Amino acid sequence: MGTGIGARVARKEDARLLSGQARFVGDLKFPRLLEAAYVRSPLAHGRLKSVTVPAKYKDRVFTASDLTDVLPIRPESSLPGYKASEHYPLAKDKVRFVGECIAICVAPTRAEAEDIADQVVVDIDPLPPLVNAADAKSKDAPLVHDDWDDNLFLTTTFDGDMAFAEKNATVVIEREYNTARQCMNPMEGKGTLSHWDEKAGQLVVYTSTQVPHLIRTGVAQYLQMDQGQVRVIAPDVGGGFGYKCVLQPEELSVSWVARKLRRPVRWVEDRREHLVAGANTRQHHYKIKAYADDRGKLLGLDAEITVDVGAYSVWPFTACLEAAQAGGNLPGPYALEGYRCKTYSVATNKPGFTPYRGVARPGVCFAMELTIDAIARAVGREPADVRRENLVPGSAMPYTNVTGKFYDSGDYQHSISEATKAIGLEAFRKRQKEARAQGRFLGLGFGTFTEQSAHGTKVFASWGLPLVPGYEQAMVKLTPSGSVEVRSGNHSFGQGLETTIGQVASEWLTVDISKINVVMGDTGMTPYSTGAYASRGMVMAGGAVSKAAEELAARIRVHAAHLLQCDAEDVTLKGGKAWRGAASVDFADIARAWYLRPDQLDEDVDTAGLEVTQGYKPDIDTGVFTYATHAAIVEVDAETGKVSFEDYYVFEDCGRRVNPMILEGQTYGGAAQGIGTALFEEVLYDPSGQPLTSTLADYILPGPAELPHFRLGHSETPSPYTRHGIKGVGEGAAIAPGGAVLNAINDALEPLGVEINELPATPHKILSAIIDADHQKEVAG
Amino acid sequence: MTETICITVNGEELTATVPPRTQLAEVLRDHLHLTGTHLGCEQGVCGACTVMMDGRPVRSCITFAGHCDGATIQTIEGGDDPLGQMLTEAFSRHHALQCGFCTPGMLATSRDILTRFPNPDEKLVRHELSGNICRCTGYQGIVAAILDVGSQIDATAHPRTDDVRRAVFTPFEPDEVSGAAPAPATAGSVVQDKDWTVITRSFDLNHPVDKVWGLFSDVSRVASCVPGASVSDVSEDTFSGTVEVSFGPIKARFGGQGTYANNPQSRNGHLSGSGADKNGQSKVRGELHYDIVEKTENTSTVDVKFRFNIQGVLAQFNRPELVTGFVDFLLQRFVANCNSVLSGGTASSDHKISAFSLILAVIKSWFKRSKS
Amino acid sequence: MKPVGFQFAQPETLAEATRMLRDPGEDTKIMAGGQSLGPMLNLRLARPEKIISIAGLSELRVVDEGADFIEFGAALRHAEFEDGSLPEPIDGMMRHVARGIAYRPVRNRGTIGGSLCHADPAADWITALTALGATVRIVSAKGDTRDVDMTRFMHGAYRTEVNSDEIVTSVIVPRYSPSAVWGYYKTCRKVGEFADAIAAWVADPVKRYSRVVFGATAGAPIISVPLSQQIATTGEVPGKDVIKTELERLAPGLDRVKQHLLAVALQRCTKQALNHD
Repeated sequence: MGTGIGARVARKEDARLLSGQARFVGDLKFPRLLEAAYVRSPLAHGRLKSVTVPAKYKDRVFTASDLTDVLPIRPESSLPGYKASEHYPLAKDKVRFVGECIAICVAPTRAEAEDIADQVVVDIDPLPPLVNAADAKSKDAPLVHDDWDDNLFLTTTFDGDMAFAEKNATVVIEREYNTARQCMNPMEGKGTLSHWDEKAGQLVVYTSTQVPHLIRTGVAQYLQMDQGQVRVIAPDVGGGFGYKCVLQPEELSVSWVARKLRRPVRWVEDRREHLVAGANTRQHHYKIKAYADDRGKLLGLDAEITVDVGAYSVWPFTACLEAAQAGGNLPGPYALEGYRCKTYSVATNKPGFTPYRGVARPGVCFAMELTIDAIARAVGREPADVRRENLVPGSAMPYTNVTGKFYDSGDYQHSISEATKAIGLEAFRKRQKEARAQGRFLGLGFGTFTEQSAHGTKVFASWGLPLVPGYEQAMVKLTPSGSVEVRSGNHSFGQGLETTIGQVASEWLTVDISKINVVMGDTGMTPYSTGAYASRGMVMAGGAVSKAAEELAARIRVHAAHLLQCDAEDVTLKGGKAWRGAASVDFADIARAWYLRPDQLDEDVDTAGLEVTQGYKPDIDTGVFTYATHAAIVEVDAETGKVSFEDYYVFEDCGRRVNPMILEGQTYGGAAQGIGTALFEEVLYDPSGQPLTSTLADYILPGPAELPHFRLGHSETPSPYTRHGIKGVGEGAAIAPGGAVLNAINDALEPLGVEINELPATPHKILSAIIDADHQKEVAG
Repeated sequence: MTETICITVNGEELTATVPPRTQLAEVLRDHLHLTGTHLGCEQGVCGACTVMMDGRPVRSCITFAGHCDGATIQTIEGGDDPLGQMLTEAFSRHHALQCGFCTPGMLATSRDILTRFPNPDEKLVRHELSGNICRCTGYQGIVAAILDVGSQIDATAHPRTDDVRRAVFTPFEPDEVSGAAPAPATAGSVVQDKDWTVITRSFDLNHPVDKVWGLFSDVSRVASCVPGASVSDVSEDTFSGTVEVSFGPIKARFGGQGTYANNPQSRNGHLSGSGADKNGQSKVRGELHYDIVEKTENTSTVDVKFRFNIQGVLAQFNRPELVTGFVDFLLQRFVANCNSVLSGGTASSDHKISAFSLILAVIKSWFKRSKS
Repeated sequence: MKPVGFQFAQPETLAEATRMLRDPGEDTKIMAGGQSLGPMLNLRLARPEKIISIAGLSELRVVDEGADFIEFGAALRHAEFEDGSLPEPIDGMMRHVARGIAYRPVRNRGTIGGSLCHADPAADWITALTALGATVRIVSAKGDTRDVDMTRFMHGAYRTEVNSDEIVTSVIVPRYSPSAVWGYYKTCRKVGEFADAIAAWVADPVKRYSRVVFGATAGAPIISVPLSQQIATTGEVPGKDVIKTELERLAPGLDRVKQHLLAVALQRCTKQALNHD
């Protein structure tokens, strides 16, 4: 198999990361470097009356009054009714969330910069804070943005035909669900180091980002520079998960100071800043009315989705991607005829919503999967059966669902059958019964989803975004010594793309991956890519590398044919050599001829050479759909409310697997984050909008003892529409745990009459519900 | 102020001249240019900064320079000994890292686990690994890598036992247990009213009602009973002042202004104020209502209602249960001081009220009112 | 997130340390292991002008074994208790408690005396040592020594009997007979995190000693005399309602979930002690 597609090869990234030789933004060394600290808003909402800087720090502290040539971040959308927000990189006139940047302070060390920040005095007139979406939506609510007439970024309506469902349903389920505001917590926070390169006449921005080419566009646009004057380099990046796929206000203010002072300036987000100002994702509220027949067949769904999107739209995705995705994806993998959905994207005094691994789908999957189980309980059937019968059958593929999603391929029902088998449903029901008799509460829950990955041009264009991804480009080159160099403007921040796109090149060129050098993330050295988000890295960058490598392979064959004295069609590539029968020529010899000994070349040689850049898009723009079923067995300690895992099984299909080891790692990691969402993670606010979870002792991330040993199963249904049949996988596993785990908890607690419909299911929430139910029983009894 | 420390890092003797506040992680990263050690939270929780110090894992974010003089440190850059090599190879083989940011700490902890527990099982590894957070891998590869190396190394060294011999219990009649009775809880409640925390309390003073009213209606005098407060400027209905509070190692000083009013007929009054710490990073607002009634000829009951709201850095922690205890502590001190002043003595000379941030705000308002 | 600038002193003897405390100044802070103070320094919640580090004082790292007690130096680290390298006044309990404190790197630097002085209600030693009937030895700047019973040591959250010119030098724990039993149970959301509820029970028929303690409340650990009595005389796990009623008396107004968790913790620690697991 070698090191091509499908090989379980060790990662190219590992050596430097395991020896302390990686280079994250915080590791970079520059002469005369200044470190930055921010003065941030202590209040959720208020008028900024003054910022007083001690005279001796006038040239070390900068505020909005200095950054007069920086435009506010104002992401636009052409969706009807969308309201744009203006986010100044340093607050001007008004502050709209705790942690909003007010002043940037620079000094030779971070500690000294913080010393200066301590001496800057801010005077803010408090305004009533909007801490939850319900209040912000109400008629007389104060306005987050003074020039709006309400606090709604956007309202969308999908008005399908519900008549059949309403008329024929024998079961109607009504539920409200909540998901918590979360904080993504990549282990490396954001970080930016900018300096002015006099020689190149460029602002060079090293930044911890998933999307270097986008950031180049954003920095140039808002600092009002030509893009040619900006170079963005993403060095090693310590996790992203979506947090680093948008333009950060700090990237602008740090860059502005570096340009102004003509000195390198760096800011590295600390954990407290992250937990306060980066608390920017996941908070949904659902009101659901589901119609089903007496077998539990879903006939229709009527939903209202409210997303608490915080104060500002992020660039370039706006605050509305979340609700747009939620409304479009709620039906998920289910074949559903009647669907009505209204969504609200509500501005509040919290950090602006940023797409997090799974974007909206962890919320919709949670709501949908709990609804399916509620229906199953109502009709007295096994949830796995009800679920299976409602899924789009494999025979219907490709399938266009009620919201117009084009499900390209797959067999969703197969995934639940496999998960049911692997988790041992029947044996479990027996054990569950025995355990209940002993006062132990075991539960089994399923979560099934389908995940649109690598959605392309048309999808983003339909969301009205100003910046729509198109052709992903990559360059593949044979070096003079016969090794391979791959350059991609996409970026790897843990997903192992350096390895997997290298494998794609290896597949075509038959060169061992150890001889393939992959360069990513530097706008000065790589062709344009909109970057890594929406589970698009492997599909898009892999596809582009594939196309370029295929073309390079063809050119190598032409050159080799000349050296081997045959036709190109008679040349095959194997083991890094070109073969004609038993005769072969090394790639090194081919490369030497092109680069160093052109005298050996054919007279009519293809002058395009051994360096190929290609652009790529899948055959469809609507994305390719990965799917999976998660099955969790939990035990709930009904005395403490603590949930522990007995088993956790995932059966997934994400098309062709490029590197099974990396793919499994994505699934483990995604599922772990999903369990964080399900059981632990919650940014709490007090009624003043003060975030209470400003340390990792307050905001709980799951550790190894809290997580299960995951078991995986796979099938491979290649997408007919992408190179190699690859589908995206990065986000998927984070989607289902909320549904699977809460279904398991509710299954466990059914005898106690407890149903939890809110994430995370903390021990406190579970125990409160049990105590309440107990109390009610006593009252009733 | 700087100090020069000598440390041996990865076998090399080095010196660094740094201010005492410098974290060990900063010494390594910024002064010795060993950037393989990462700072993930600086709160002692995430474990990314874990390094080996004198053979034991420590958090380099909460170990400061002064503690490191003479120490022997091993970082990820020095992890090429046989165990280190086995671990790095196993980490790569089992895909135990994705972004790699937590990896330096994971390797240090893995080394420590295998040193203390040869051939551990999965449950133990997961427990011992709990002080290191990984956001990418779900820990599965990390646990597998440690188990893999554990199965390769000699497990006969230092077998560990956590066995506890447990006696069979025979019931008996214990002697009177001298359990100090907890401080009697003060009557009252703590409730949330929108963004205000409202605390009502009722306490008795062993003095006649007129005398007590005399104290409460004199802002300056009553202020002297509030721990940590001082009033600088009192007019007919306004005051300004400061309150300094400390809650364990946390100290804060607030300055602000307020208004007050008293009704001698009904012997009640209120004051309200607001203030901020010196750079405006924490803000407090508070109101105090008090109502003094005769209990007996020589004793009075004081009903107080604090409403307060604190915002900013000091408000941003999730340990609400600590607040109530602190309020009662303050009240006890206040009551004791009132009794003392009413008896002709002086208030305790404690400068700082031990108060949590929220409470601090309350106290401030309290002080101000009392003085006027 | 870096600390404010501070001076740092590392006295070499206890005498030198107490001398430094004669005029400690407003903002001098003693640091033992620094594992709770460290984060507060980094967060700039604690802003001392001067730190006196006592973790290295050899006088604070000794163990004195008496016939009826063991005196542990205040600067002994949690990990040293965990590893069983120190003598035990009651088989296994201090090892067990130490192992549950935060994480190993924290236990490698954190000290028993530091933990007591920090007096976080959710911390382990405060509750465990109260159950064990320990005494804290305190030395003042003047050189006076006084012993404070654990029942009086902690005043409330982050408040103790220790004055700003004093240092805790040791903890004296009575020895228990071989027929003594103990239980210690805490609930946490996550391994190593702050406890939501703690209960401890220590009983020794020979000494006719029984003590039930609840921890992780709003303030100092709470001792229940009636429950101490009841469990000792019956040898049975008390019912939840009984415990809750007692908690209602001892700590009125406790959040109902907290109250419930404390009751469960006591039941479980009693079960553990009585070998009912």
